[in-house]
Amino acid sequence: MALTRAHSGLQTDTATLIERLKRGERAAQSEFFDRYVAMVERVLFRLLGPDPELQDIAQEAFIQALASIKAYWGTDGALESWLRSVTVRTALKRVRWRKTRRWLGFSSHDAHLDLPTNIDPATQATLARALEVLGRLPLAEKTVFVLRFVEGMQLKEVAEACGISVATVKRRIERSRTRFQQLAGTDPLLIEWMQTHSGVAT
Amino acid sequence: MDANAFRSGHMNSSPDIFVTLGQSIAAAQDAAFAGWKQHRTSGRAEFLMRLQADDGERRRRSRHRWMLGGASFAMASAAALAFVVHRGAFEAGRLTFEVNNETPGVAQAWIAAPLERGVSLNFSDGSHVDLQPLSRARVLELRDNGARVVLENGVAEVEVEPQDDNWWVVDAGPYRVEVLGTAFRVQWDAEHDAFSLELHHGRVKVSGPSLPQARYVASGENLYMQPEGYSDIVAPDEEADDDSRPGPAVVEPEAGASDSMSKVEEVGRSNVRRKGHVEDATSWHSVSRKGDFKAALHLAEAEGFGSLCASLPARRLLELADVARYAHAPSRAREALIALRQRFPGHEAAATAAFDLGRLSQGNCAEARRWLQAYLDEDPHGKMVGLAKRRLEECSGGG
Repeated sequence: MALTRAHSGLQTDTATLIERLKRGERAAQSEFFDRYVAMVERVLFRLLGPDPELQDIAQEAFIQALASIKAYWGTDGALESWLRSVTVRTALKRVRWRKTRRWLGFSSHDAHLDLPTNIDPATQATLARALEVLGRLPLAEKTVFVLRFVEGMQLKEVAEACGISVATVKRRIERSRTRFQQLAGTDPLLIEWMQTHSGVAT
Repeated sequence: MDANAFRSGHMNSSPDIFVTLGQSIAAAQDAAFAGWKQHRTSGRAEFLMRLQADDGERRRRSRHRWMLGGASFAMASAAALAFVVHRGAFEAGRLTFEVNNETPGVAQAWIAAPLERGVSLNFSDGSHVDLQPLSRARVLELRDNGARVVLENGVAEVEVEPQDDNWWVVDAGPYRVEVLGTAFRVQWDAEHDAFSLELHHGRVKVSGPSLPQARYVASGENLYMQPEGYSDIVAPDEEADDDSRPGPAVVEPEAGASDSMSKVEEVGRSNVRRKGHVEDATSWHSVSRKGDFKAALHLAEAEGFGSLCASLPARRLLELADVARYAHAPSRAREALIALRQRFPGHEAAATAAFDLGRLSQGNCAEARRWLQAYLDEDPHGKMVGLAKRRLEECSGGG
């Protein structure tokens, strides 16, 4: 009997991978999934929290991406950001399909998010409240807020991911920031945290 | 504390505060994500299965569009009639199947075997797929020369009736087994992403994750694929009288294949070397392992088919017969099998040859019965006993 590790680590270069995906090669589709599934799931986790359907939505995002791969003419380096935008659109589509805001990200699900135990209880409580506030933002505002500040994407990337202009992203970010402050202003914990981290006049 | 500053949104908020907040949330989420991920599989297997189902659905929709387009092209009544006639003819050529020889099978419907018994799918071309208890599968597509069966989970014993231009495919999870006329046992464990194939007889082509190239698996070889790319290839047992038998299923790596893949192939090659038999890449046997059976038969003819029949060891003779069969040269296949039985009476391979001769005797039931009975007598506990008995019954039923 021969036992050995096969080529699971095999990584063809991205240009070749794109060509193989366009030809519909099953092995390439599998490799595409393996290469990017962590990124896709992380983005979904940012938007949806520990959603019970997260893996299902991730698979749906890959299927959507492969369905339109033949129309992809971006550069090799842009494949990941293109897939990220497909992921965001798939997540938003699912959220809209559910027709209820409570499924979006940080609301009911994030109330049960297991925050790391290695941070102090006060910070834990603050983060939990911040997530709750985020869950109360309108869907469009919350999405750009999460992508910009939590996922750390550039404005242009957020615009591409959401399929809107950079100017619209800026407007939505500004609105989300204002609304976040308004909502946080009723929460002593958040007020204190934000005072500590900004120059609010007392 | 000026809470009104927050509520009014007029806090002296440098954007950095949101960056800091975002980073804190991201760090907490990353830790939570790692914990969430720990308790889940990659989801790759489910993804590939969905993809396959999606492909099938697209083809079905495309076929329907084509049929509807054709119907609307002609005059209404004539077109409707033509459509019906055409559709009837189109359907008539396709295989059909029955579940447990009782219920007409329905393409694309899921079939689940209960805990207490298996389920048998019997196709109109004589092929069988036996699902073991707790297995779940569906016949995704039926054509006139074969079918595509999706094994979602569990074990299936498959026997495909050899025909010219066969098209038989078994998708086991993300792995695809293309059948060339054979009998095998395939297992897909969806929970652990584990695939296994035990080939009783004949030859199949397997493709899927961790297999950058299709891998041919020959009679007596088994292929196991496990998560994280572990592959476990089991060659037939060594036999004293047969030191030139093939090693494990080996596919020569393409230029540029990864190092890790090359290691798999090296293991295959090193097994061959251990047997003291280094094979010429242009020999009939090497060429047959790449799936080009006509070219392999041509090379065997050039080498002298008769002399090969007189000199090859038992197992290799079986392979030569397979090559001839897949190259659509049944008389040559019969010649190799008869030679095997004459030269190696009592050998396990001789019993297998009897089974093969029975399969080759289509249209001559008396002869088929004689060979199949010989197989049952010579190898009463062999892997093809069930198949041989079923064929005998069919032969008796058909006169």
